[in-house]
Amino acid sequence: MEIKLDKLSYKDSLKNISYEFAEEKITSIIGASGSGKSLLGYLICGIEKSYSGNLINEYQGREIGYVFQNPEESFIFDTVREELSFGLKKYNYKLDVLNKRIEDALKMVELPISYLDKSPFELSSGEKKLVSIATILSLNPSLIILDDPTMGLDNEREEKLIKLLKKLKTRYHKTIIIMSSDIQFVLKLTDNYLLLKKGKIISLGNKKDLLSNGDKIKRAGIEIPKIIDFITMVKKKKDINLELTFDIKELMKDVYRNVR
Amino acid sequence: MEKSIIKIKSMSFRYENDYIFKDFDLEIKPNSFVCIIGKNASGKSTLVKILEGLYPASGYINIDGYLLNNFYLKKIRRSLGVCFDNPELHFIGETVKDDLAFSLENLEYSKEEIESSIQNISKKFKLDNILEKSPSEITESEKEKVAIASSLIYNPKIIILDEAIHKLTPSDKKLVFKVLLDYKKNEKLTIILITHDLEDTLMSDRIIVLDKGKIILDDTKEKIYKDEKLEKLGFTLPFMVKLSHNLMLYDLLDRVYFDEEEAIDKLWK
Repeated sequence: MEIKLDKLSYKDSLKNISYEFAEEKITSIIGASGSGKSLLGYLICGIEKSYSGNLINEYQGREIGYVFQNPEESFIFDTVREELSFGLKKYNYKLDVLNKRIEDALKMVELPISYLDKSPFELSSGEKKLVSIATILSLNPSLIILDDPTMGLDNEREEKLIKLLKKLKTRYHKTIIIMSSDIQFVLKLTDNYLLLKKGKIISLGNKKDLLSNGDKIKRAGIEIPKIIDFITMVKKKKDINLELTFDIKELMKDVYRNVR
Repeated sequence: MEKSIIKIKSMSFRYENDYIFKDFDLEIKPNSFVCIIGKNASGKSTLVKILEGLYPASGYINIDGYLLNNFYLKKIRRSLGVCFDNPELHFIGETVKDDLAFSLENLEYSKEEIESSIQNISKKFKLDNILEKSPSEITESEKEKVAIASSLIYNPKIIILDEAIHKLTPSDKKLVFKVLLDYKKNEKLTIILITHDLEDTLMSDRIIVLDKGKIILDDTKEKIYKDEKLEKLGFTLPFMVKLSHNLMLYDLLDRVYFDEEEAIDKLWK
């Protein structure tokens, strides 16, 4: 299954984007707010159609699951159960199959079954996000696109989401596209990335390449992890070159070697 | 002893059959900067909705000298600026400028006063070039800035930021913190920051940890971060706290440093 962008442009917001997404991998579209990353997601899944250039996406219709940035926007029902059933009802599942699928989806995001009878509007922002992810999972799409999935999640839930997305990739062979500006999060799970600034790709590659492009990340207006700030500050103030790393244990060893 | 600007005593709140808060007490001193942290569903946002008068709770709640009830609600809302995590919900006006004017019109400011307040706040938050734009034309970071600006524009005594700074770009975040701290210094603003990102707690005077509607920790950042207890509770510690604790194990640092330059000077004298 192919997703291929060739000189894709959209008004002033996206310019000449060429990229081929790898199948059964996690690819992150990284960019600050206003970089065009959400728009790119809309174009890939076909919500937005007025582009120039070429876009091939062989995943169609219900093969695509899209988790929006603000989950409230997609809630319309009084209970989580109705929210989760809505998409499935279109496909005329029998009631017992339908119930099994929504319960399984809720289990995957690690929310208790009792949540089925709660109102989605009364949930915390992190829980809303998880319900919207469960809604998508219940439809079992092959391509999952998540816009800013960590927004509003606490650390524990974020770790669980990372595990879930990795499992969806390796065990269920999903292709996953994530839009995010959270470098720490992206580094924990992504295979590939493209970095957007004002609608243009300024860097792309695999996870390793991302590590060595701290300057470009900064230029894209994205918060650099504190650990990189620290390493840069040591160089600036003391002219000491510590190894570039995102792992605090590695940094520790390096500091130890350099101080002694 | 200075009087508390927020005083909550024996407050209870129930949603359907579950108690979110039961016999909850909390006092906040004027002109302080308090961070409230807690996991999803710890009760943080419910607490804000109670203080705003949106959820009816039982017990004693006093905000800026007024008892929280329908009679004083208007006065309390004058003292309290609240920003939530979804800035879209704030926007009512057609342009950013209309939006900033909205709360002032409600408070019956004159045309001249409205104009000068908008000039003043947009200078502080650097909004001049987006004043005439519609909310749909600005970035997420700008939306959050505008939402915070419109909560500060009428000079409330307290501002509550409920997960309201997460979409800010690094430079906007720096600016917002600077403006908030200026208001704290010059206008005696009380700041209540609700967050799940512990990096944001390092500016505060006091950190409160909420869990299932109860306060499980309440102390200065120096005391809270003296050990790694928050990590055991499932939080990711601020980078400088984590680094300091690791370096203390190797006897390279003697205490927790919140400021990286200070730590670097200590390490490489």
